[in-house]
Amino acid sequence: MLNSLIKHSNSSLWLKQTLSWNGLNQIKRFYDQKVVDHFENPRNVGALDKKKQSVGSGIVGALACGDVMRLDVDIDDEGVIKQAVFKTFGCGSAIASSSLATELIKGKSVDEAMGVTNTEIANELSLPPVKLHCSMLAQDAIRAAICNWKEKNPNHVCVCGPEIAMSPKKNRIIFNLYLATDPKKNKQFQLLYMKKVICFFLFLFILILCCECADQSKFKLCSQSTFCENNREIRKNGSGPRFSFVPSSAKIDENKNLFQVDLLRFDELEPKLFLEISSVIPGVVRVKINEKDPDLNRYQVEGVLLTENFNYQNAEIVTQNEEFVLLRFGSEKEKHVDVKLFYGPSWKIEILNSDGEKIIVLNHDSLFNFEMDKKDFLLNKEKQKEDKKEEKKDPGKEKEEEKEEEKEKEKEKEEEKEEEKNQEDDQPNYEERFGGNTDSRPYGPSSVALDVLFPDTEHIYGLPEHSTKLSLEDTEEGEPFRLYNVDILEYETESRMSLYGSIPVIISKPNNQKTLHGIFWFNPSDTWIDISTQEAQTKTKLFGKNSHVSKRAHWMSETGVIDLFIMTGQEGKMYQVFEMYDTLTGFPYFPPSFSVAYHQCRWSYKTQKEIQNLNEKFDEYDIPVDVFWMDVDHTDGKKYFTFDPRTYPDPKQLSKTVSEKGRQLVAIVDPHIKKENSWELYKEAQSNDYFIKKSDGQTDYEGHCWPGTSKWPDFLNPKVIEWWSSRFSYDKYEGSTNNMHIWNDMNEPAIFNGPEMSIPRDTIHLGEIEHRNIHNSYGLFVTKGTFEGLIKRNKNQNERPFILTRSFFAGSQRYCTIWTGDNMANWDQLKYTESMLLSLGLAGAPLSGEDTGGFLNNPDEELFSRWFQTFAFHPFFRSHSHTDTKRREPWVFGDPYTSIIRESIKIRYSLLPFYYTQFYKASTKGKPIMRPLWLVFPEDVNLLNEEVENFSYMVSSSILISPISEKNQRSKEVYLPKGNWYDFHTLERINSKGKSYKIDAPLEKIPIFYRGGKIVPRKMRVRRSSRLMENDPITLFVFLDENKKSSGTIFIDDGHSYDFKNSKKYIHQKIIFQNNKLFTKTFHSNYDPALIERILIFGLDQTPKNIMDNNNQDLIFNIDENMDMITIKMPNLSIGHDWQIFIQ
Amino acid sequence: MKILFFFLFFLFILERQSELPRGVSPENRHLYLNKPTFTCHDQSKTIKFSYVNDNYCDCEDGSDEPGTSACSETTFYCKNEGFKPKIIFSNRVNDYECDCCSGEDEWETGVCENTCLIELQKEIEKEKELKKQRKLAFEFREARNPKVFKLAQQKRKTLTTIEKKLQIITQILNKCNSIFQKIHSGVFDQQTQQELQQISSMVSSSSLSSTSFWNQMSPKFTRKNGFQQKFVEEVHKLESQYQHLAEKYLQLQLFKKENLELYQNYLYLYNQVINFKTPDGEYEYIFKPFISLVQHGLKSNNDVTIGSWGSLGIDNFQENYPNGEQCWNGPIRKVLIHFECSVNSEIISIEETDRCFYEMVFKTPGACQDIDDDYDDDYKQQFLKKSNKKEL
Repeated sequence: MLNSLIKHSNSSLWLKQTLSWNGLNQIKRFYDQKVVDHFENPRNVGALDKKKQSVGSGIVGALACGDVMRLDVDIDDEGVIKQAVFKTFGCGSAIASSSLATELIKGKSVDEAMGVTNTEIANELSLPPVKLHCSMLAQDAIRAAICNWKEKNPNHVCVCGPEIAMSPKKNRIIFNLYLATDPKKNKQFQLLYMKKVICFFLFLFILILCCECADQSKFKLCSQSTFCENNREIRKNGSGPRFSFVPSSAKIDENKNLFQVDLLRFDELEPKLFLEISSVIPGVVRVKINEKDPDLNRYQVEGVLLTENFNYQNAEIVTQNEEFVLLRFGSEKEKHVDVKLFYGPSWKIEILNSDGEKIIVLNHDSLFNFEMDKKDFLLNKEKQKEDKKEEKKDPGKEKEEEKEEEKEKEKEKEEEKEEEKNQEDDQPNYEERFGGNTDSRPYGPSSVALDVLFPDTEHIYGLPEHSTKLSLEDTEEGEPFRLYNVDILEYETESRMSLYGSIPVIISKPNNQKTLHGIFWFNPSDTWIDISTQEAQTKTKLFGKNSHVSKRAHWMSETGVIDLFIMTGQEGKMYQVFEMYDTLTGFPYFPPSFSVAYHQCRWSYKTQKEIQNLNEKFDEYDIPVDVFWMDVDHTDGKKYFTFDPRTYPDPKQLSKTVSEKGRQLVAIVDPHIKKENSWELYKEAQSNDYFIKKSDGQTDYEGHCWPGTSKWPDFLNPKVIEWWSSRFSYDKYEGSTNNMHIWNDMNEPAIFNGPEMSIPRDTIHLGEIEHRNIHNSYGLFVTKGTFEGLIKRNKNQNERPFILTRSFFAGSQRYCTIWTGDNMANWDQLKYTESMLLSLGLAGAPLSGEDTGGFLNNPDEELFSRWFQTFAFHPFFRSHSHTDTKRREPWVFGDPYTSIIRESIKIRYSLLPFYYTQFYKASTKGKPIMRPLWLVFPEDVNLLNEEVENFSYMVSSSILISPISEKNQRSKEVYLPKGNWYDFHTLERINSKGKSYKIDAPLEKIPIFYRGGKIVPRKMRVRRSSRLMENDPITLFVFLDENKKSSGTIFIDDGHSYDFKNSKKYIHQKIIFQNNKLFTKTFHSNYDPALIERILIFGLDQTPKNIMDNNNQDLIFNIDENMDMITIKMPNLSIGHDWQIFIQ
Repeated sequence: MKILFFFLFFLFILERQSELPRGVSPENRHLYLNKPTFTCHDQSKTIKFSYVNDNYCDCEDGSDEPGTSACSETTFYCKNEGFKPKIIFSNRVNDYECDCCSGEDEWETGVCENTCLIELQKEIEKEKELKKQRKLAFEFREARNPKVFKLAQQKRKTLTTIEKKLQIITQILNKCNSIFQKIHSGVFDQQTQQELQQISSMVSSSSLSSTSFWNQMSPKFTRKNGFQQKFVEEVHKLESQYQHLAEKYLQLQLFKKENLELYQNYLYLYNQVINFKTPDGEYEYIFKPFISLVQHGLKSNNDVTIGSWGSLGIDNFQENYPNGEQCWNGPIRKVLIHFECSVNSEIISIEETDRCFYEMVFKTPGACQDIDDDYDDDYKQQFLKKSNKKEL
């Protein structure tokens, strides 16, 4: 009755509000009373007349991101803020923050008000960490408003240019408030300011129209990074300062493996740089450039390469003349590499393979740059200016557009002014400001840059982690690819912004050749890479004009030395480059077999009971699962290495409960340490001085993260790694057990209030090394410590660790599995994550996966099902979701979706023997597990021009998966390279001529094909967890190619220990079908043999009369002529034994 | 004689069961009669009978392997002699995990002991305990509920009055709505005046607390400056009255006739307050049966109503408390209560099982079934017979 009454009254709109009598005071639940108070009774709401001279107005934020804040101040003649009012569109915290900000600054002088920081606001309101950005917004708003006032009142000159930039993706505009406290320094902005302000409001209007947005304004664009812009500038100008080799200095050392030569700048008398070339392993050339006699030693990376004791190749000088010197590395005829160094005027190095073909050219376009010290920086600027003027005088050379010219002029003016200022000061100031943070840059500019040309190459790959297409696109038109590990929430597809991890590796696929080469730019500092295409016409007698497309990568790193490895592949060997790279940085680790199975995660399973319930539920729904994950909430107040005694009172019991069904746990351990004096772990680290220091080198750096104020251990210090690893021992990490494994998150490191959500670059590590030198490798060192800890925690040190990491660098593959971070539940991400994983695989990190289902937002049933169907084939298979999303354990959506998901997971489990073998192969040969089709079929040129829509990938070289990544898509054009293919679901054969086939893809399945010529081992008895399947028999799927041949390998061991290595307890066997005979080739057999219960042979095209084993025993078999399938029932054979089967 | 008969019957059953292939339930006995051949249940294939349970999946529907794990998507029947039979997924057969108390699912691995007798004893103990609880609960209810029932007579009168008032206010408000729309568009005609008068008389005839505003509405009333504003103010007053009454009304809903019948077992919960602190020390929940469930933040000191009692029916001892406060950027909160039998009323757990959706396990005497003799399960009878036999 009453309900109907209410409904009735609701029909009138203006009554509606008053009848919602429940009173929606929901924000109370999470926030401090002060926030609620400021939200409910916001002070000083309104706007002031902006035309008034005494009024300053600032607008900050982006509506598209959720919050926009306008803050107006009225300032009297004495510079005291008389009135402050605001209007804010945003969440409660944003409103409360602005309200408090107005309160705080009222009555204060301008300078005082400028000093109000976001921490002040945040602390006052006790904002939760996820809302800290609101207080930053308020801080920015205050400053913007005051600066605006200063604008109007020139006696207080100050300029704040809102930097407006379009990101490559249309419809997305980002802007950032630049703020300068030193009025003299930024005069140049003033010129542009008015123009920009107009644009600014225009954009603000447009912003209202756009809807999706990662908070990109938190992260730098190239134009906001001095060294990136400088080096791009060099390219625009044509070239950098020219250096040439000093012929007289060229020499090979006494060990005959290192060639050295000095580099002389054209305008200097003494060479300051030198170059070293060596070949550290056959086929790999290392080129290093460093200062000869530096004032300050440059950081040289340690602990990233597997070893520094290389098997150096013999070096000899083949030819030497006035123009060049030709070096040869390696004695073997086939495997040698030639290096041709051109002396100059601008040096150049060509790497040639044994056939004399150019593989890679260094400094082809003279973009080499090596900023040395402050003085050098100034000289450089001067020179650039001169160069520019000279170039401008040369009209034939200029083909730049008029607009650009205008810009240049403007910039020139700016530079002139800057220079003037710089010259005024005795001590040049190299501070770099961004997003309210200042990087002191005490050592001045020290960037290094070099261009690398890949001749006759249309496609280059790599540079993970980016959410772009696999083949690297040209970047001249937009932002370069950036490698700078950051915590980026809601990252977007097709963006070259940096993500959580970085591997500075490019793999090149030379046109019309069956090989791959690679470049490993060994530098963990902030790195930007511009990619461009160069076309050159050559004339040959036979073919007339020939057009050569080459790719160029312009590497720019903030600091360090130039150190790069060139990996040269031989024709016909597509996978050689991976082996070379892994010999340098380590082969992927071989995690325990459970990690190959399905993982269930959520932020968070808040209580031990919840996980116990999951443990039951999965069985109830007959869905296999191996691992349950415990996110941050399982800890006691976000103190890692602890359990919350109230919610996880008995983790050991939990461990035991899940292990009864063969299952495992994973606990999160992040590298930020809560600053809590009473906490034993903190005290220990504190007393041993284990934390990263502020730029003063003395006091510990402190920042905000999940636990509130935290510190970060200095993992560059070997003692810290030792200490960290000791914390994993069972007695110290109370509640941990041997079936609990570790997840390292936030190891970029992620810091809520740090610049670009990370640690300031001028913080100090052991040995007075600035953080900027090592940034991208921090995450790697965290996982290194964890890895050692998990090894050490068992007395026999014989158990294989499983670790998941978010941040990574070259070498991370030695210690951990990688996942692609906080993705979103939408079709676009489903489409692009696979390119991300392929890219990781090509760059040496094959063990990777992502949050199945999308971490953020709620996937609908269809998206969720499609996600499982394809992601079940990825190396790491875990479902994860954000705390604000709806629950989505596999059964939540109900049938048919639950059945679809169950089926996908069961398919994965049935393929575990196959996958586990691929993991083993990756750990020994470095081969990617997920592969782009062109890697498996290098002769098929159709495959190189990838189209996202028709995208497919291979697992190893045996199974082709073509994901469905559009809503309501029910069929797909799938390109099948020439040969036999067998539908995974129906087992029907397609004999492809190398073209696209339309394949049905109803909701229940996606196009998947076995490749003819491959044998796939499966276990068809899918049980509750992988361990319960250990003793089950194997089914061999034998798919014949057009020549009636097939082969496949299988690896078996105990699945968890290093016995396979230490006591060689494993089976590695190849199974071959040839000439109507199925037989084994055993590489090694020293483990319990696995029974084969069934052999299925497809594509024989003949009806056998009988099938016999090598003891002339007739085997029972069955023929399905429609399917061309022979089923051999219980042949009484085993993997691990040698046997033969004859088909007659 | 009787005993002997039972004994024979028992043997007979045993014998018949022994004929059955492993993992087949007695109901499906006819599908596995020992013949030279076996036809898959989907009729797709006929195989030798020796292929049944040979640990190899011949039939696509898995019907040839009722007792092994060879086929997927099939089930295994545990006889669990001496206890309840159980049906398990066949992928649990011989996986080194004990799923049947008899251990018959691990016939090959042999890792399980027969625990059926223990299970049975546990079950009987549980039954006994439950019976005891039921008795106590019954007594408890008998002692308390009639009192509330008496109170109900009184409360029902109040309820009717409020209901009437609410109806009148709704009518008035609806009228006001149309008047407002007219005034707002600048129309003030005779009809409007009449309507205003009607309202005036409605206000005076009902016992609503009213102001002089409505009394002015004589036929001669003319519009003065500020009329519109006053009018709106009055409407707001009426609205707040409405709101006040509606809240009262909701609190008394239990005393509606149909609710009294529906909740006759639970009446003692009227005016009770049951508190529950979450294990993590974040919240305290304040449960007022038939009114609301409120979450009190122990650190933030804020209250959020996560569910209000609606007049929704009771279903399997689960009850919905919908209409909680809306979540920030999310749905309206609601609670689902699972009732369980106990002598005392207490909250066992409250969890946010989905975003803004809470589930509460609430133990209370009202959820206990009435006492009856339900020792009718076969296996229990058998057990009792057996133990009787022993006693004999």
